[in-house]
Amino acid sequence: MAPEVSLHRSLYDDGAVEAVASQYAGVARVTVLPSEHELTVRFEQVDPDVADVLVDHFCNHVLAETVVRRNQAEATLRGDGGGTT
Amino acid sequence: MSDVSVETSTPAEALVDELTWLEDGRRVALRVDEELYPLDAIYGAAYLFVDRCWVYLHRSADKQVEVRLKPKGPTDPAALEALAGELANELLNQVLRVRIGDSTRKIREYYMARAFFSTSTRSSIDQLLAELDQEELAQDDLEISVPWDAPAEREGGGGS
Repeated sequence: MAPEVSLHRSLYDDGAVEAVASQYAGVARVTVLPSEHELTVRFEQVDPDVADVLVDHFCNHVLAETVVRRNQAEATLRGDGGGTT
Repeated sequence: MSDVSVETSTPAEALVDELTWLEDGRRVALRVDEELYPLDAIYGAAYLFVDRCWVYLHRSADKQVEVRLKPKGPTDPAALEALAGELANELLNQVLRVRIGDSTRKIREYYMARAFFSTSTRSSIDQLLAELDQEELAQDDLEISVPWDAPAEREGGGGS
């Protein structure tokens, strides 16, 4: 059975998941299946050399990307707010 | 005699764990109340562990986030308990950082705006050049030899 992981959409950024998923095309076929509250990420045709850490590695990567995107979004919002005063 | 009285009768059982954690020998999970620890603090704390742990965030209930840490190397229950404690401490650090950031936001924005939108019409470099010009003009007006101009003159004069 193909490994998969569910990422809650209130905790992980949708764009971050999609962006990171595209970077793993070299080691697996990654499919992102959205539902109301979660994104289910399925990994098929996984490179056996990385199979044992693939999902964990993916989750760390998406978390880091989510944090970066949130920080960028907040910085942009602060910049807009500063210009209106 | 001191007038200060200290209540020491609180039994250990009365202490309530605000942070509960679970471990299964390979990983540890800490349940965090989002009412106490804002999401930014949870992200900040979790992010600090990505270099040595596999980190996974799970929405265990409404307003509750479960932070799961799985060390990348070998581990044992004591190490997992220490990891949970470290994460709890880091959550507090991050809450403080977020609150200080919020409370000082206005003043930081003010200084940034002042730096970017200063009403000065002349740049500081222009002002410095103008001051230097004025100093040189002042020297010319006096026509007095000053020690700091002397080396060039002395070198020229010494050769003759």
